[in-house]
Amino acid sequence: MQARLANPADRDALAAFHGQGFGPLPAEAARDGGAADVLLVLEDAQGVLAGYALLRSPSLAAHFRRGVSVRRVPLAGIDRKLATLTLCNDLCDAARLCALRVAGEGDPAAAAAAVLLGAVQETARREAARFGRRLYAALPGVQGADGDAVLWQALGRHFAAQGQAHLDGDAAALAELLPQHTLYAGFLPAPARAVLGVAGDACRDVQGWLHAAGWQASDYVDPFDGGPVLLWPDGGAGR
Amino acid sequence: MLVFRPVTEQDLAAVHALAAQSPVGVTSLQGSRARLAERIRQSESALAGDIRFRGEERYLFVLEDNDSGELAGVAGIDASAGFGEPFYCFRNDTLSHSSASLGLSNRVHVLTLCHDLSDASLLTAFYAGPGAGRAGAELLSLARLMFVAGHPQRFANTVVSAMLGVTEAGDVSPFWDSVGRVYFGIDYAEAERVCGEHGRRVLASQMPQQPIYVPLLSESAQLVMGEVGEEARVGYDILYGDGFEVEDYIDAFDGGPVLLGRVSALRSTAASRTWPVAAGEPETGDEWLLANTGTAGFRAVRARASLEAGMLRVGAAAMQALQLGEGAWVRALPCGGEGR
Repeated sequence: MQARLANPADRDALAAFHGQGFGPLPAEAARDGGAADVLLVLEDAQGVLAGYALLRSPSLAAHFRRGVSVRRVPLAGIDRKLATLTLCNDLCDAARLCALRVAGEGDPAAAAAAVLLGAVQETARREAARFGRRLYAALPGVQGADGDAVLWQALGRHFAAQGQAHLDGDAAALAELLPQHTLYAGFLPAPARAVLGVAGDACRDVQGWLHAAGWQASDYVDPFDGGPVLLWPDGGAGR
Repeated sequence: MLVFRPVTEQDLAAVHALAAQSPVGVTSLQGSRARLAERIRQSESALAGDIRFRGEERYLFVLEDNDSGELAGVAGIDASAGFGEPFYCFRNDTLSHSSASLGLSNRVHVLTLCHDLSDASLLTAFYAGPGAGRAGAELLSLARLMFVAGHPQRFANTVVSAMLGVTEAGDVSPFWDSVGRVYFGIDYAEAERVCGEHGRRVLASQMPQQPIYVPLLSESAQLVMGEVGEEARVGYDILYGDGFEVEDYIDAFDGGPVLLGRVSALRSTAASRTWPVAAGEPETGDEWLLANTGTAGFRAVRARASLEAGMLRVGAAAMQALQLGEGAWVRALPCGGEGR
């Protein structure tokens, strides 16, 4: 298997490709992308498309940073650590892995993902001026039975319902409608708190692939669906 | 006859019994017997002092049936709501969020912890027992304000009162459960007990400074914000009728409304007048709230009186209850006047 930059000849194969992973289909990536994006494709030994990855150079990004605030009232025997969510743009200098999809399942899929991720990371190293010092991947969060993200139902819809159509597009701009002050997670219902930093079922394997490639869990979550944000390489804030 | 007078050390047992009957949300009546005793000492000290400028004084009064000697209610007023510690409450605010690039904006209702009202005087510790009735409750509540009218140097120009919010069976506060419990993990009754013993600052100062986004509160909490609890309805009606107004503030614990009254605009302070008193049964049947002009000897009653030739004619029983002699000055306010 080998990874290389996509070219116009890959268009039909990308359009027909159905792999497991996350992120937009190639056609959507091509439409939304441009000079800021790098689309890498993976070919097997027979030259058949076996996966792709889309890397986007740094742009406006909004996430919740998870934190802790302590309430201590010794006279009342109260000593509590409270989870907080603070909207931030810490990752606006980091490049985003927008999509990662590979063919197959199990070990073969993991192996394919490892090759693609190696190529992504090598690309980022080689073009540090373009992609910044770090990469991040925001994995889709947990959805409810109605198909909406559990966190969206508990939080986002109260603040940004009129912009729901932008969720798959300019989500960072839409995040400007979300709470700008630190939010105590305790104000969210228990099901919403439980999904903070949890990847949806369809992305559990992807999370494993990313960890295997050296990506690390972070304190950041997607502000709309609560999905986890993984960083590569780990260390320091996104500054 | 029910007589409104300053509390004394001898009232401790009876006040403690009244406090035990009061709703848990009357924070200033919660706490231990020792705490109540201290409160009584503070009041006696404040009344004994020659106060030129208001400060930390805390006054406590009782409503006594002078036939039986039993107490029917208790009520207080603090010269400064936030003298020793800030007077915390939530202010209703609106934040505007917008995304210029998407051309979208929205307005969000938030609660902001504040101590805007710390400089006002504060009505506290109001509890009218079953024996007081509506008339007694009115005397208990408004006589405090007639005391303010007679001693304006002891109080601020604005008086505030945090009304009890809505609670459910078992002293459950929907507002507390959605706000305070998030921070402290204790139930409403326990929170009030802690504050009764140690002061509200103990918990309120630990509430985060960040605004609370109202859309994230439970539906039941949103419904009771700014609503008066059933146990406070009579007290609310009395103050509202006297000219107190609901503004942008709610209690930080149970979400009840915080009422504001300008001394210059309240009926009990602005419309009450002083007259020389004449002994004798009044010719008309009109009832008045009557108060002497004392401090430690302050007394107020509800009784029939009539204005005759520039003097207020008052019956002997009321004169005796007010500890007034012929020709002394009495502050008077007609009952059932032009309240709203």
